[in-house]
Amino acid sequence: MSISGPAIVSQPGKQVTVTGIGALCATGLDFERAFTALFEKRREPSAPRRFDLEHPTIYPVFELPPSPLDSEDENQPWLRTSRLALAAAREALEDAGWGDGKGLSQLKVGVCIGTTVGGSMNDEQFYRDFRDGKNPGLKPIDRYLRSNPAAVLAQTFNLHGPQLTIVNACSSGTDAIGLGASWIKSGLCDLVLAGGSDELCRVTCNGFISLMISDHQPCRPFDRQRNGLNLGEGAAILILESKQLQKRRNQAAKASILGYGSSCDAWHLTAPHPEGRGLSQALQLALNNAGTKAEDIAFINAHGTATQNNDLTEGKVIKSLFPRTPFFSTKGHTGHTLGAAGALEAAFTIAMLQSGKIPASAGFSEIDPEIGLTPTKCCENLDGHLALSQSLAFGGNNGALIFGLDGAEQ
Amino acid sequence: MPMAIRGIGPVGAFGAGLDEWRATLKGERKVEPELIAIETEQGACNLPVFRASTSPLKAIIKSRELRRLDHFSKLALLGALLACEDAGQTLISERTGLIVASAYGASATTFSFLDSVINDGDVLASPTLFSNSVHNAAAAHIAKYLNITGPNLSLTQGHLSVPMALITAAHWLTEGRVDAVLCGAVDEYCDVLGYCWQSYLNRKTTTTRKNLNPDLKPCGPGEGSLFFWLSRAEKTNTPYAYLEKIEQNAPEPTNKTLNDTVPLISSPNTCHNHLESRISQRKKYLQQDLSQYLGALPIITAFDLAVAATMLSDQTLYSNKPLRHPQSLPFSGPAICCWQPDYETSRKPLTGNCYWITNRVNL
Repeated sequence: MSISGPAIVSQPGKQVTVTGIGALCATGLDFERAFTALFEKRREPSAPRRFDLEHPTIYPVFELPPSPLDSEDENQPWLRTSRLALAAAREALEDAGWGDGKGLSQLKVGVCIGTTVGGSMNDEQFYRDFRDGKNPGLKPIDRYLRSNPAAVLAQTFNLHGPQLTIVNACSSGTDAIGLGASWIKSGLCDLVLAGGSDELCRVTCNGFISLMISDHQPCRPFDRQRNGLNLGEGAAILILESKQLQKRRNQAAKASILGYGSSCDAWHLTAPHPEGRGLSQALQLALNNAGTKAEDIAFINAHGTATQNNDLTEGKVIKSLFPRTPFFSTKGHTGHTLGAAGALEAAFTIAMLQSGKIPASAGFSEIDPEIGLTPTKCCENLDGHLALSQSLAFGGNNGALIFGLDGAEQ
Repeated sequence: MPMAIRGIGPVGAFGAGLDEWRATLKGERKVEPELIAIETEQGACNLPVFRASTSPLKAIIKSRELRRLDHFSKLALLGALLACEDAGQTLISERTGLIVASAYGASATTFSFLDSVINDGDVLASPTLFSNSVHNAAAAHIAKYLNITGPNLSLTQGHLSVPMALITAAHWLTEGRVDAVLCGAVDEYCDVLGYCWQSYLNRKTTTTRKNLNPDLKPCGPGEGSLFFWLSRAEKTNTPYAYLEKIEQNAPEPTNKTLNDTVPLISSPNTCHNHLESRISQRKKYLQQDLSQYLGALPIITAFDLAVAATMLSDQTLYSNKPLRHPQSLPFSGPAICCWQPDYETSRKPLTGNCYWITNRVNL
């Protein structure tokens, strides 16, 4: 068979609209509060509240504000990651006019969720007891097996379509939305709950500290003095619907998903390709998929973790492909929420398109000459109706989504 | 859109590669599981575990390049390399996708990372172990070794991991994102899993998670990987077989829906006896019980489909547990149907995933 030809993936198919958003993170327990806080200067990462770490330095994290979600009752049916996803899904369904979601069982509805912690069997106390020969009970294992995030949402809302939990590390949320959109384009689903969710946990915190990429100060994405990331937690779910369903329901669309591209650096387990080879490829695919050009993009919601490697690579690619496009990172407000990050940032991107303004890139103060670009330093008004949200990930994964205000289809 | 299965890379307790695979299907292999001492609340026992060796990798890759890979990634890499070799296709980096499905991920490495925390303290947690414990580490290693720069997906969905991987591969091919997908599944054994397995067995309940509950199928846990090289169907260059469609939430096929299709029941990783009694009411069927060579695996579906593809390619019905068919019956197709009931739901009547595999498609 022919395997040559241009890497163009723009294809006809059903249009995909976003009709509802639900999200929670350190900046707020619902999407409105979480989004509004991005335009404020206040940011307060602090030592983890729900667990202890034994390091000589405090590595601050962006934890959710206290809420009933914090309950660690051993009879909780699901892990925190799935509980966060469920809270976001309920808000998103309500926002999309689906109420408690009961009407969904008559449709082809899929669930596509990105996570990192939510897919790992890593209950530390269970393992300590196991090592000590204490024959621990299986409640933590039962809970882990019950807690696959996509399965939890599918079971809760009685959904019969495909269910998929993506574990592509930090690009999981972006990929979940991209794949969910493809299910609608192909006709596999009428509606998809797509997004990401991740909780803060001791194991992950220790892992990132061991990699020496955690900052002991509030993170500073794209800044010359940046010194690593702060972990965060949260969830974001988008309700994706076919244009036909959205119109039939007479439900307003917040935005359309116009393009998705993904790639792998195939370079290094923990470091991005130094010239951003994979990211450039994913971006080009997303632009081709959307049938648009780089200069039509009004702004970029960058991955911007504040690690040396990520921001340098990402900055180089932005400079090369989008030299005049405003860009910023929201991780200075939310921390790096790992599997939720791409979804959270996609949700913010849509809300920014709708509001017509973008925030300052929190934590930035001094240009890095190696990058040679300055992210937004203050709130700016938008000129355009297309936006890009992009993620880079451990393992060299890259994902990019292009959103357009409804009616902005090419 | 039908997908062409052009390469298969199997790894399990039976061995690695197609020679071992075919010998296994013919019933020429006898696999002795390793007996691992497990201590549970109910006392000590020896659990039969079907471990898989990754030693064939050493003949392909320099040991130096393998030194930072954990067992999970080696299992996946070996399966992926074997599938590539078997397909014999030119790999074009940007036009090839990679999918790695796993029910539990690199669980042994995750617990080894916890060992480093518990033994040495938070400050000395191992970065190497942490890196390899991340779910998509195996996919990253494969992509790097084979220079696959197309879309790269790691997923975990319990017993649905394999069908979701295949559905994603079909979407990528249909959308034109790629021209080929290296799509596979991997899971490994670890001590904690053995402890859970035996504890669930002791619990003797059918209401708990059946992936880890061998209550109805006491063979012992296994590990392994199986990768497919998939591409769009084309008129020339006949593949093993075509995966024509995957039906989700499908009822059990009837004689009417099956028509000339042979129903294959292989390696039921859940309720073996139940399935056996149901299928015995059918006028024809084939059973290939891989559990004696692989142990029980949540990703067994990948092996089931490989059984079907191999039989269609070899024009032979291999059956190591024939109830009505003799072993190695000549077979010219045209199709095999694998139905895997979903015992995780309480839906009545029972539904499941139905895979239709054929040796010809209309193009």
